[in-house]
Amino acid sequence: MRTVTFYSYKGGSGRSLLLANTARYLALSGRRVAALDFDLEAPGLQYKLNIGSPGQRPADIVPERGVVDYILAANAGNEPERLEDYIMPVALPPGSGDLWLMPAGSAPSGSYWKGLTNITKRGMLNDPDGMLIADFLELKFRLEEDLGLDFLLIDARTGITELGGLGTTLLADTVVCLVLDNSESLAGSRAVLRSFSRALRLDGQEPVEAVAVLSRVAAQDTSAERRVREYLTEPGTTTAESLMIETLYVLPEEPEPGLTEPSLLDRARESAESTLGRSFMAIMRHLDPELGRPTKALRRQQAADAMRALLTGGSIRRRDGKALRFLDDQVVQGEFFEPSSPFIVPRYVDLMAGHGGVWLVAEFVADLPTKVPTEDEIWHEPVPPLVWWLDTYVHEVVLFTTDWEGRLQYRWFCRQTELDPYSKLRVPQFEEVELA
Amino acid sequence: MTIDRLYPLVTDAIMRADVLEDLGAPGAAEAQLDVSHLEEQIADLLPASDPEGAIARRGAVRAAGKANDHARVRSLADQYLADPDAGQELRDQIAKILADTEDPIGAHHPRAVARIGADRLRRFARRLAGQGSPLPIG
Repeated sequence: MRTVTFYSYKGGSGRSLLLANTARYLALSGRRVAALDFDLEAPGLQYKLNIGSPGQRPADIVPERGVVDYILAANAGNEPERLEDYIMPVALPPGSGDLWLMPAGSAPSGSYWKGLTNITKRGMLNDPDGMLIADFLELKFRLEEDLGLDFLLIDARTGITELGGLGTTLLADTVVCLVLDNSESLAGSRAVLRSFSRALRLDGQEPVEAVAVLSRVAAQDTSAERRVREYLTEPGTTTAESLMIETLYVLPEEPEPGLTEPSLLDRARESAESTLGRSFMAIMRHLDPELGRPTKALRRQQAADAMRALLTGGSIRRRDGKALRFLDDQVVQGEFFEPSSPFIVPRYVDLMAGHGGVWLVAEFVADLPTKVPTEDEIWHEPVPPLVWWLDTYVHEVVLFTTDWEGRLQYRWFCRQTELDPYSKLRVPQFEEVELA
Repeated sequence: MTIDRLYPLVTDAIMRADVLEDLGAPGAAEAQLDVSHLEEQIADLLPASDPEGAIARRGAVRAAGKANDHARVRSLADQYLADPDAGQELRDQIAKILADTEDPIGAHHPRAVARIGADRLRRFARRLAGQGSPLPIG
């Protein structure tokens, strides 16, 4: 297992977002991945991993338990018996690897802050027996063994803190350090990056590998990479302190109207037109040099991301000419849908949108011809789409497919009123979606 | 002192020790030691075969452990384990508290100990405490 910690000296660098996209990309490529929210003073990784249900505002998602509860129990000598009570599976398309989230805990509840205070008061630096350090290491090894992980991704606290330092030193094999091009971020990041060479390691542990990422670079700023690299690699007071940075990855800012938390996945292709997508792919190759060709699950997710952008951007037009538009927090991406009928097995759905219930379902269908699908073609899909099993509360259905590089290709749209209420096997009349 | 007098005293002492421990207050260890002594007095009045006697013996050893008084844990544990009236369940519980106190890392971190070793973990913790911060900013 490789443990990669995502760190930034200052907030606002897109650290958690990069971690969430990395976690999804690796899992969609077949890896077994866990994301651990170690930003214990300001947690919220669950918001970035699309965990929730349709109509539930992301801000209302409060995990029951997490890292803080686990460590408190372990530190009191009662290691939890059931790890699954402390982690949440993230829904991914069939054919993916696995992705779990271990949230920080029930933040922002009062009991969470009380528990965190208990941990920080005990502190590692007043603990010559090493109990707290052993608790965190035991958790890491348990996640690795019980879940059979390929990657553990840790979201570390900004700045310099005792627990954040544990995440970037003892627990980490690699630290992805996000840097912003401003004086505070550069000075602090360089000091932290330089300290990695002197950070204490256990016997046999390799030194921490640092991966520097310059984030949120304005598209027109062509000199930022050179300027920041020169600053970071300026000679220190000793040779050991001077940084060697082979590659400085650059994530340019790409504002997208209608997307509050843009996903990198729909742009992440080897031949991407987008600089952001290419940079993201380069980081993925660095973290996992054995990544193969994009899997079907990954292409499906990329197309779903693009479809989400269409739904939240108001780019789809109904036949009556009105634009179909959802707010970002009205769309849930990747969910195990549980139909109201007990005879239908819960299944994965790419996108569900609505407010207080499911209004629209968007679902991937593979390998359809470049025309409006027929009943026979849809029925012979390896997994017949959800359109056959509509709940009465679902009013609209969008089917979509993708090309071989994961680009959203064809879209079809229908309303449930067009389905035969007595025979759900009758094919609905789909029409290709018109873009506004 | 009679049992009836000791029960309210030990209840108050446990509550006080728990509050101090939750707050991380400096007097927490001392308060746990008070609990241990009161539980020991109850244990002296009741046989180990009595359910309340068993609870008192377990409480006396556990509170001594929470007070980090390892010598007292061992002394009480040796005494109670040698008592022919003690049932197997009580023996197991006391033996576990003893093991936790003498080797807390080994007792609760089987994976970390198997991969790293308890001594190396302790050495690392001491070096880290000496360094003052996980990130040695120059």
